[in-house]
Amino acid sequence: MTITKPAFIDINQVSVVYDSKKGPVTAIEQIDKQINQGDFICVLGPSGCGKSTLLKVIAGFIQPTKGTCQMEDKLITQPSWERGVVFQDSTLYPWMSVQENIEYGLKMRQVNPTMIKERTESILEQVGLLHVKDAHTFELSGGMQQRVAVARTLVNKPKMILMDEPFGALDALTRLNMQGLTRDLWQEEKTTVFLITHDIDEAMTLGNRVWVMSKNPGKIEKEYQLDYTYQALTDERHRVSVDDKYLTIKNEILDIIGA
Amino acid sequence: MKEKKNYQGITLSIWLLVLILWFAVTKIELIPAVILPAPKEVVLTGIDIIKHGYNNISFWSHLGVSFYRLISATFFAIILGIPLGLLSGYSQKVHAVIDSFVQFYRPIPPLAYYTLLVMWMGIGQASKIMLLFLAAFAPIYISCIAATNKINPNYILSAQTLGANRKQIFKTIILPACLPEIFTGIRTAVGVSYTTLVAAEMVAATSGIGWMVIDASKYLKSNVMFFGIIIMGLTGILIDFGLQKLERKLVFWKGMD
Repeated sequence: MTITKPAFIDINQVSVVYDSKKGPVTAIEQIDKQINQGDFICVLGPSGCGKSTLLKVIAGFIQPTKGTCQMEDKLITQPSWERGVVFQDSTLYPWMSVQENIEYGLKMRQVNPTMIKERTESILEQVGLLHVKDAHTFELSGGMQQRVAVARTLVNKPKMILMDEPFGALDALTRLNMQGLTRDLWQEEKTTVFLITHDIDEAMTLGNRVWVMSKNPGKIEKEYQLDYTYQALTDERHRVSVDDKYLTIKNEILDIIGA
Repeated sequence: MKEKKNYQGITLSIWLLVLILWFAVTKIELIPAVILPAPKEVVLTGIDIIKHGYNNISFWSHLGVSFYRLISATFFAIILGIPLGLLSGYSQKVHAVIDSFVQFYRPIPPLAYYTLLVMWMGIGQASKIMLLFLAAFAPIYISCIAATNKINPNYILSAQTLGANRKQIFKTIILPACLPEIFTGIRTAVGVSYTTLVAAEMVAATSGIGWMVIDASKYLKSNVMFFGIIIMGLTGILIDFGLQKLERKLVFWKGMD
């Protein structure tokens, strides 16, 4: 295999060992993967398989015990706006309005005010939040709050978006809605997404690559390259036609994660 | 809402009951007036003090000088306590520098070092304000440290991933996120410094609401003592009420995050 240019994200033999009262615990072991620009990676796995640990390493929240994680050939040592993170529970700031929450990153980075205004307005429109821009975040429903969280990250135009079970707490219909929105935004913004989920259908219909992890120690067992997400993009109703191949893969994944 | 009304009713009834008891006990002269003066006497004395002052100083001057001490001390305690407390909670280095000092002086009864303060800063306002300041500083400082330890860590992580640096995070995330606890600290601080105020006015003062009560106690003027204590209690409630109002306005998201 010849590599012409460095991988966008290069996870190189990464292991993370936590200290616990019962001694060291290996969260993830020797993960070796590359992410290309424009990928939509979905990570599936049972709870405790180290999915979130892997996300934290890429985000720069924690350093690997062994191995390295690089972005465009630069070692990831701390969080950066280039890698936006959407958390499972909304971490919107309740003392700021919806609009202030969305502007926050741009303001901190001292982007010029006209640009802030332009970008904020366009993202508010894109995610359908214009009518609530002055509301307090705690007045919004869970789905709306996650929209703000996604918008707040996207407005920064990060090179990559990391999402940790972002729709886990939403009801089925809202979740479907948010999945569609995320897929559309991924396509429109030509960004790279790394999404953790425990919902197999979510992973298969969103990701162009699905990583399936196993537990004890946390390892990536298998990768699937799928095109269902492209199907949904071209489909008028943004739906995926579930075929035999889909069901076979779904069953395989179920076997791996031991459900 | 209905329940709240009921509980307020209970509170009011209890107070009413206490008043009636007070009235009844003094009416049948069960207890000597020096020990428990009749409500009417206290009210008359109160009116007299409000009209003609106490010890040739008007009632409003007594109240004013006490409040001047209380408010300026609390003001300095807020101005210094909040940033130092938050910094101490945010940075291990700052914590190492100041925390042991606060922990050292905090449990010492203010009267123990008040004489020293008087010797160092004179008998005027400065030593009294300093004493109240020290009393008010600790609760604010400690509530700030407790608040920083309670912040949702994801608030800070998400600010970092949005591009904020440490200094910006301190100002835009840590400070507002800690406001609810800070308010609790301020309310405690006002209470503690009010308590200390009487101690300060006991020693070396010639006016002030606390001084009035202490002076009256020397001559067993129970009416004046009762009036002074009631005024202190009521103003205490009033200040706390004001702070709660302010809190609801500034920390409108309390309990919503």
